[in-house]
Amino acid sequence: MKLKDILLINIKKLKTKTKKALFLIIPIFVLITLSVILSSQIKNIQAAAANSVFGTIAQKFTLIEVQTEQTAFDPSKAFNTTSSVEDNRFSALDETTLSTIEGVKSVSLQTTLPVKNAKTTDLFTDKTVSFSSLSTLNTTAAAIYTTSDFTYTEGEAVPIILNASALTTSTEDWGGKTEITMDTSSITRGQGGMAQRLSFLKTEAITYDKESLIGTTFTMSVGGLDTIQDYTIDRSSGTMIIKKLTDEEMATKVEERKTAISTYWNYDQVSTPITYTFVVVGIVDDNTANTTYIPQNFGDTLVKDYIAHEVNSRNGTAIPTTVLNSTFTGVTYDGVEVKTSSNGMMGQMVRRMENSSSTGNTNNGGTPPERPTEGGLGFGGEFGSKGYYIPGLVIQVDSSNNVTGAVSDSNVYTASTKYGDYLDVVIDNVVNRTAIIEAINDAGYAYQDTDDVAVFDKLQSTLNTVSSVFMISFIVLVSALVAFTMSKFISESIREIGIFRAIGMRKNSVLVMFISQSLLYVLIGYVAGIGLGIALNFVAGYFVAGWFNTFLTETVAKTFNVVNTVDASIFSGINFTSIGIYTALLIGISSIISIITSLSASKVSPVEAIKNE
Amino acid sequence: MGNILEVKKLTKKYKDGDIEVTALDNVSFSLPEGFDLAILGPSGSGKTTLLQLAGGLDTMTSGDVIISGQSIKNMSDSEISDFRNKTMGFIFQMINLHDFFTAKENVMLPMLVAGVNRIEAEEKALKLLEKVGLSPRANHLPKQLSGGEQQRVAVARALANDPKIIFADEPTGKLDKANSKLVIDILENLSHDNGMSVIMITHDENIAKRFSRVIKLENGSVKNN
Repeated sequence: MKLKDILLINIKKLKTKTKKALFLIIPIFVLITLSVILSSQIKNIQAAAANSVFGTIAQKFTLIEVQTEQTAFDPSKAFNTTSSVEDNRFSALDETTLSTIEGVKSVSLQTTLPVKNAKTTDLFTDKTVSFSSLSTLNTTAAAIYTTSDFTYTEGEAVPIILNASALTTSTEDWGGKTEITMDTSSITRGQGGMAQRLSFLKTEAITYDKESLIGTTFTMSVGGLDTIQDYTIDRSSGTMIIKKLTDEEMATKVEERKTAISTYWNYDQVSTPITYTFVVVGIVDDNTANTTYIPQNFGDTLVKDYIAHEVNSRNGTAIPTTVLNSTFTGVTYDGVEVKTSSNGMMGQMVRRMENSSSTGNTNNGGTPPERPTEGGLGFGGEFGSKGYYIPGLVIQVDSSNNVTGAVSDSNVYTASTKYGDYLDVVIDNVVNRTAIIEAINDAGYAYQDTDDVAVFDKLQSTLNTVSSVFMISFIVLVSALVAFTMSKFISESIREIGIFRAIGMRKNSVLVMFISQSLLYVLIGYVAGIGLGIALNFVAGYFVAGWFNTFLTETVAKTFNVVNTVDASIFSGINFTSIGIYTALLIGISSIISIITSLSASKVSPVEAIKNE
Repeated sequence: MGNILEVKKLTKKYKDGDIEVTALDNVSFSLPEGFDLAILGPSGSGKTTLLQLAGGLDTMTSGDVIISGQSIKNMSDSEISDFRNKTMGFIFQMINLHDFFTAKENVMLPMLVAGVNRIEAEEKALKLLEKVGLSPRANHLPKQLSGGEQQRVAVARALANDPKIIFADEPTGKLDKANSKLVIDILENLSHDNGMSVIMITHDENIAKRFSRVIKLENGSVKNN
């Protein structure tokens, strides 16, 4: 028998026995209507929570900056070269681990580039801005801070996301004097940093207009020799006496360094920085990692250029390891990682110095900078190392951190393993934040979140419960409905089936007839349900918007100062993904149940038709 | 001339609880082509069982049924279904029309099951309804027809695929005298016109007289032939 004729029989049945058919059609219709509205509104509430509640702050909450555990600085370990501070840091392995957490969109390891003296003079008129820390960021994480594509294309200006805390400029103002006396007796022990608030050093934040800064192109120079400290500090008495060096004294220092460097390098060449053109695509003003971001695919290029510049500047004279140990500093390479620590003798100490004592200013927002020294160590060279920093110099060290020579391969960084102190975890939705943070902690990463999003956590768990309960009910109800109504249809159709069989209809045709009858009714309920669901979703959206605004003003506003009003149109959104899932569930369940129940129909004997009672 | 129906040592046993009941015991007979058969017998004598087995509606315990030279004993469900559809027609005492189909559609059904296209099936159904005198009632649902009219629709349906053999189980059992006569007349005329054999169960000796062959069943066995 033709399938078409079987289907026509079902349509005929539907027309003449509509009331019976409605027993299945109406419940399916109601369930589908509800599923459309419910799943759409749940998604809309999530979207509203994520997009509209905080405006830009909401986007910030989709970023979780996982930081390495900061162990307190222990001076007794400062010279312990096997200090394991690096062991805590993150690598690509951690990226992979965190990427597997559900709801995590991307994980980006922030790698701080082993470069120094990055600065620009043409971003702001007459002001030099130094970038103490340049880190790489992948495109997904960058999307938190910029709407532009954060990738580097050769031949074009490199996109850069500035850190507001780096937008400062420093000047010296000796007030016409050559010597300043500071009373340090009032400084509390343990707050040594305060002593570095040298009164002649002025740091001021540059006022900028974010809108006009974005899109600005500027030149950044990277490398070049350190600025020679132009003063000395004498702390022999209770007071601190700061003396400005005379021009002659300065000239001598510059000349000393030039002589030392010229032994092994072309001085002019090595002291000239390399330059790049950047375009500002974003400005970060409130993250914990005070660093300026460049595209992930530009990091290796920059460092390779930086190292190659040094390698090419050598004059051919081999640099003895003793000289590398005592006279010059750079970055180190232990066969695994290119580190911004000095020649190893200072270990952790040096890393701290390097991080905080580069040029003009630091990025730690508030603590005024320390002037660079020829030793690269701060504290007026108190630690006594007379190491001239050579930009791009990579010093090869062995496993015990003993200097073994200078690296001549500019690809050393590209091939090395990168570590970083920050992992930027971008999540799909702010409402999942708490769950993801739990998962991050379960994975062994310590991250303590503020409880700001707890209010959304509660909302989310409620929505999840509603959504799960409804889906389970949907599955159970659809199964029960189809099973019950079809069993009823079949038991009421025994004689009818008997006649079909007596006339010569095959078992398979009977099976197909009842399966298609069930699916036809389900389909009618489904189509009507989708239609009404979509229509009613707009009505429901109106009420949900009202409820959500009350929730915002009465609950959320208590936690957050900034509460944006929610545009009601967000609640007319339709969740097609969920509709797809419900459609698949409906078809799957009703097909299986129909087949099972219809099997009993195909087993009805034709003898049933001939029974005389 | 061959036999349209051969029943060989046909036996049907079934279990009613723990008791084995023999509904039909070693029944044998044959019916040559062009002959009709009336099956007489008291209720419980195995008439309906015989008809069910001969029509392939139920499975036999032993023996064989050969219709138009073909044994139906070992046919699969699909084979016996197709064979029943094309070779046999059935008329029951309970007037078994599909209540959601019109008279015409009920007659079309065996043709649709056979895979005939709807236009041809419709034409033929209308012709058959004309022959049973129901042309004006073609588009009526069964509930809009009288009992006699319904049974005439059933006759038309039994004839739809030009079967060689028609099984009828007391087709006039629920009809009054006038309608009974009408149905039997129509059945007789149409089957003779088309060379079909009618095998009918009846308890009415007067009707049985009109058949060329008669067998009587008693306790599952043939009493005379």
